[in-house]
Amino acid sequence: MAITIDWATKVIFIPQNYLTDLGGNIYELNVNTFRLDLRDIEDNEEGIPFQYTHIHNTEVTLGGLTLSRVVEIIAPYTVTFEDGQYAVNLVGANNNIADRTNVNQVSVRSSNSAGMVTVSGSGSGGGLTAEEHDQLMKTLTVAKFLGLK
Amino acid sequence: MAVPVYATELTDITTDSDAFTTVAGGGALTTNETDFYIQGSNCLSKATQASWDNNTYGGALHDDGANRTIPTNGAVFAWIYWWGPNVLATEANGGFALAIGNLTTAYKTFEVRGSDNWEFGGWECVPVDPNTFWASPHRTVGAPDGTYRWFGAEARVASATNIAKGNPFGLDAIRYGRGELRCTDGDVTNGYASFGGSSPDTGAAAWDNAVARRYGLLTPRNGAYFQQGLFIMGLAGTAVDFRDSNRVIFIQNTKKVTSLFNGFEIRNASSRVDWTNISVQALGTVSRGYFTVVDNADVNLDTCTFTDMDTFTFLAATAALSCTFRRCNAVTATGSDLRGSGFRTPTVAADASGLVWTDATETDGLLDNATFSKGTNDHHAVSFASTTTDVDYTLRNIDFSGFNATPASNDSAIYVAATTGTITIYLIGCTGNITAKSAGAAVTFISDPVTVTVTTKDVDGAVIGSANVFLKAASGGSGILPVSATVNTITRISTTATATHAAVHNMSTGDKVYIQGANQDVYNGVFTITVTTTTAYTYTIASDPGTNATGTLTATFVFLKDTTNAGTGVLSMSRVVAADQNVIGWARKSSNPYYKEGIISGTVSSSGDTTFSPVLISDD
Repeated sequence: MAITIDWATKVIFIPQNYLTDLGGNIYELNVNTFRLDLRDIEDNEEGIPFQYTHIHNTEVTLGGLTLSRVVEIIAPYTVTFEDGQYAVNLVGANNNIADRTNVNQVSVRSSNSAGMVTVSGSGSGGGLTAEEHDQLMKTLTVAKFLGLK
Repeated sequence: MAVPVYATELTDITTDSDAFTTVAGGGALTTNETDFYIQGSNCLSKATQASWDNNTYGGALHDDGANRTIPTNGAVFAWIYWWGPNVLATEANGGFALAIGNLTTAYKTFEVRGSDNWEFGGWECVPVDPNTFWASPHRTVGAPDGTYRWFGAEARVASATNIAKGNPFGLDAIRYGRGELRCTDGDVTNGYASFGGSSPDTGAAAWDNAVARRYGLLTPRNGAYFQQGLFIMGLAGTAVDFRDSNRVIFIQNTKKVTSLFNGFEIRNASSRVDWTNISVQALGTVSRGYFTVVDNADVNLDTCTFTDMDTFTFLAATAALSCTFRRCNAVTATGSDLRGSGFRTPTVAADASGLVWTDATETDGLLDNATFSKGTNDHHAVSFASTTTDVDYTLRNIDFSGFNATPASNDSAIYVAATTGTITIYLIGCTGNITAKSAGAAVTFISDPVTVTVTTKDVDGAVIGSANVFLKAASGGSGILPVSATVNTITRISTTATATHAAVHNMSTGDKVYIQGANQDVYNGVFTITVTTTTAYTYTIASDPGTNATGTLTATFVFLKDTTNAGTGVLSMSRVVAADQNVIGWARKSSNPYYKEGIISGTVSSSGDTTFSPVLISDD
């Protein structure tokens, strides 16, 4: 079942079966997929007259560092998960969904990071190669020498 | 259909070798004159005489054996002949007159020709309606009782000397009736009915003018056709396919008939009549010739010219494209297509109209590119004769010449017959003085629409096709279109909702409006409206919610709600905008590639086109 928006109340409804079942009453919401589905609703026949639902800032790579995707649900929109005794892990983007969620029995578990969530590189698993590590250390040394911390 | 058929209802009074009795002066009669007949094989002639001079009369009458009834708007038709026109009295002095009465000693004469207008003599078929002119004959002989049994003619020789020799006086076929020339049938295989047909001439004129009949209703002369009586295309029981082009037709100067004697009628809704480059000109003023589409036949008049004629009546299936109505009486049209036609100096009375638009049909696309010029009287160009209130008309690229710049004048270009409500007239590319006189309704002119265009682009300036655009009126500025305007009620009958604003909404049928605030969601959304009054309109809802709308209802005008062109990224609309209108909106595209919303904000100009180019940033 797809997400829906009640345009009168501005409530974004997420049915339980929209979520990925991890077992043990633990579910996962891919926030990036979620925001794309919201975009689809925003520009359809019914949704186009209404204010957009969220702000999205995509992943940004700076000097080999990738800043996390951010999805911000904006007022007056709120989010309601289909009621039930289960937990939802929000993954795929930093977000404020937990802040905009209408409280019910569902436990919403945010995993926002401070921003830098990924260190990209050619090594398997996303870690630094030896060359990248050396270069990073040199950069940090120079920065410390210059008082840039 | 079949081979074209032509017919008339005229009844013979006399044709060949019938008995005549001489009346008044003049010489002997020859009832079997074979030297100069016009119809059949002989005619009547009358010899000259020494005493037939100095304003004396000479003539002949035929006894038809019983009293005849001349129909309304009909006539007695007689072929008359005189070969010495210079010796005749003038027409006003009875130069040549038809004679009708009940005895050879009791008849009246009705002048039809004279030395002043029969310069060349020869044969003429002249009509006289004794019903109409009985009280005003040229002269009365004896005491006619008002019945019509004896028919003939008299010539009055005015000169001091008579014609010395020969038989200058002739009479051939005399008939009576309405004077209908009826055309029916015709098709592509058998040939269309026509005025003239091709050589050998097979059209109506050839039929009418055959020596065997010579009805004198459509007479070919020097490449033109001279018409009199009623030319009918199609009958109630039999349609016609009548098609002709490049003809010149003169409506004869018939003076002793009613005003409705000459005319053209199209009957039977299955008929088709195509005239292309046909010129019809009336030569007289008594019966100028009317043109009436009686049944809603398929009538196509293209680049035709009508000059000095009487009234025209067109129906919805009539198209008169690029035609000229010059010095004619009123043209009455019911949803007819009159694009490009000129209504020039009509002869309608003061405060009347050259064109009478009878119903509330929107004129857009039907009157485009027409021209109107004022005639001698202080008249209107167009009358919107429907009394339906709150109707819109659009006049596109129409020129009004010579009309009064002061509203409510007898010669204001527009007359509105509605007595209440508001009539809105959109003027697009029109020129000249355009004011209105009304029977009571308020008349609002709105001049020239503007185009609002949205082109969606990316940050590099490349167009983005298939983006969804929503652009609505916004508050502020001088705009008069509704912005979150209070809607007092929204009622419904089945799936037709009627919204009533607290104030004038200033919208038109076909506009889009954004309804919000109804507790019943089916009433909310963007809808195309049909305006019913200045404060109300209807729109269609998806289903009947079973109750009228409740809640705090508002309405906002919507300029655009659609998808940009897939290739050009353009979405546009045209509308008259009475005042500069602030707008707000956005463009969105969610299908791959995804874009963030591009904001549209600004003012739609009331005087020129407005273009918005929202930039959409990638949202992948």
